[in-house]
Amino acid sequence: MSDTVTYRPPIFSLQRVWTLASSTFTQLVRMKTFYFLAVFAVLVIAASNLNLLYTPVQQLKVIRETSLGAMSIFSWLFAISATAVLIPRDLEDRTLYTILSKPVPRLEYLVGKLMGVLLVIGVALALMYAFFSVILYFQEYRIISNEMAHMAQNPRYTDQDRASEAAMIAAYGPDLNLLIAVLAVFLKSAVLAAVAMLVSTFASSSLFTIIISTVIFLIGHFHKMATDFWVVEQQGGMITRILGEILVLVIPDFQIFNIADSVSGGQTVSLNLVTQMSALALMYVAIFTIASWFLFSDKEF
Amino acid sequence: MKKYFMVIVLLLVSGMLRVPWEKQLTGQLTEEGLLLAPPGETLREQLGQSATLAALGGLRSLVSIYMVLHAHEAWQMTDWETVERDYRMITTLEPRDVDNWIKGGWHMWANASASVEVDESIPLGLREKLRQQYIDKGIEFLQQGIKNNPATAKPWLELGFVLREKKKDFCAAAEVYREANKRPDAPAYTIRFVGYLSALCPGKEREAYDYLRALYDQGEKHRRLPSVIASLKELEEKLDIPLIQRIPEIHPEVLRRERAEKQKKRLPAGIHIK
Repeated sequence: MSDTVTYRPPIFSLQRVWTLASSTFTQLVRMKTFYFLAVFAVLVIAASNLNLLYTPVQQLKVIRETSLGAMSIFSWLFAISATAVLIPRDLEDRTLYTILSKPVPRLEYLVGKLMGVLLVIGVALALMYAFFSVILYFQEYRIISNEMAHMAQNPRYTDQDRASEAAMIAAYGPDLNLLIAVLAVFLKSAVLAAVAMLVSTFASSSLFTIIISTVIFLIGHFHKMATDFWVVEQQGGMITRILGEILVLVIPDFQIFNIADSVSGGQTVSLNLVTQMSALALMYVAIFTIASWFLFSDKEF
Repeated sequence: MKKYFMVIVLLLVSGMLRVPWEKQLTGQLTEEGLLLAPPGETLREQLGQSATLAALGGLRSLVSIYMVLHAHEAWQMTDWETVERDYRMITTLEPRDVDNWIKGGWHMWANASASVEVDESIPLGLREKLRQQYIDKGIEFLQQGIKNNPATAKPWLELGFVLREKKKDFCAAAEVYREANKRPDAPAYTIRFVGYLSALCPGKEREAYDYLRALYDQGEKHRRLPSVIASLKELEEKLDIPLIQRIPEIHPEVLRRERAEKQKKRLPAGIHIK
């Protein structure tokens, strides 16, 4: 009777995925990704000193809008470019062979890589959020003090008016609701990174991945509008209608995540909508990861 | 090839599942004011390709900030057509930012109107016409701002000011302040302005008197300000209110004159105050 025990690695291990994700995180950090934060800081400070005859509320809104805009641009660029270089880089460094020669399923490799990218985006967004919240806090304090001093000189204003003005300005200061805007930016980037990963599994070069992912990203912002235009306004034929429908079915709708502007303008978002948006993003990421796995599963290197 | 086919089938099938959900979610987000309608054809033409793409990509605010910078530069060059066009775009991009409507309106009714008034390159007869046109444009901006932001008093207050100072239409201004006063963010002085302006509106003197008297009778400190007393005193004269019903205070202007007279007497010879 043999007493040999055969070790069977688990089919899917979160620990292995985490190892891959953390090494990807380190790999991306070493690419000096976080240097962008210095540019972000300069931009936010510049925005906070920009005053084109702005009202007190507008001064704070400009900081919020510029910061969220910069965060969006950073996360989209990063989602596309970092995901595009990951697999080719692993191939170039021959790390890919080392990893795949071990009992690591290819799905885990892809999920780990994607998680690493998302981790960098998440950490960067959190740092940027913290930074601009601090700036907003100090600016809010300064603006309210100035405004109160100004109103105190005018007998026309009552204590109630002053309190109301202070509350109105404070509504545009640092706010937990802004975290939802940051989450929406993150979700959009997560979907974009998943799309870029799918493209990179069949792409011949990183440049190809970047170009195709960018094109998909752009189409994903207006394909519904364009399809409506072709089909309804231009009364396109059957072929146009079918092509339009295919486009809408295959390409993600990135417009749905564009709520940062409204949240920055003071709109509140219900928990139900946040949950639905997160679930939709998760669905996109899952579908594109499975599709990437189909193409990557028996790819020869 | 088979794998590529499988991927396309996967994307199509999952698309069929998610598109109805997305439609419903988009509807909810639009209903709650979180998603704005995409830029219309006219706005797309005005914005140009890159700005349209940025606006579609969720960077409306950034495009708007850029447009404000552009308008600011045009304002310094007194290029009013550009200022107007830019603010029309800004307000279309961010219709719920009430400050943009107010700023766009202000550029028109205050800056552009004053600028054409002193512009010597424009024939004299045309200047007044243009001035009025710019004031009307400013009013239109404010009315649109009200339509897009019905809950706040800010554009109402601005409109009241323009009607009062630039159009001298006190009757309309009084009604505008009355509307502003219905908003929770209206400053306390708005309530008095309804009275002051009604007092200047021909035919509304009695109504104005009753309104201001009611404020005065409430006795709160800020409602017995010199302006309230002055308006009441003038209306008492105009409406010939019986002496017994008149308020006990003296007209603030009379008080001021008396004080000045007394001071004048105390001053050494040769020194005068106005």
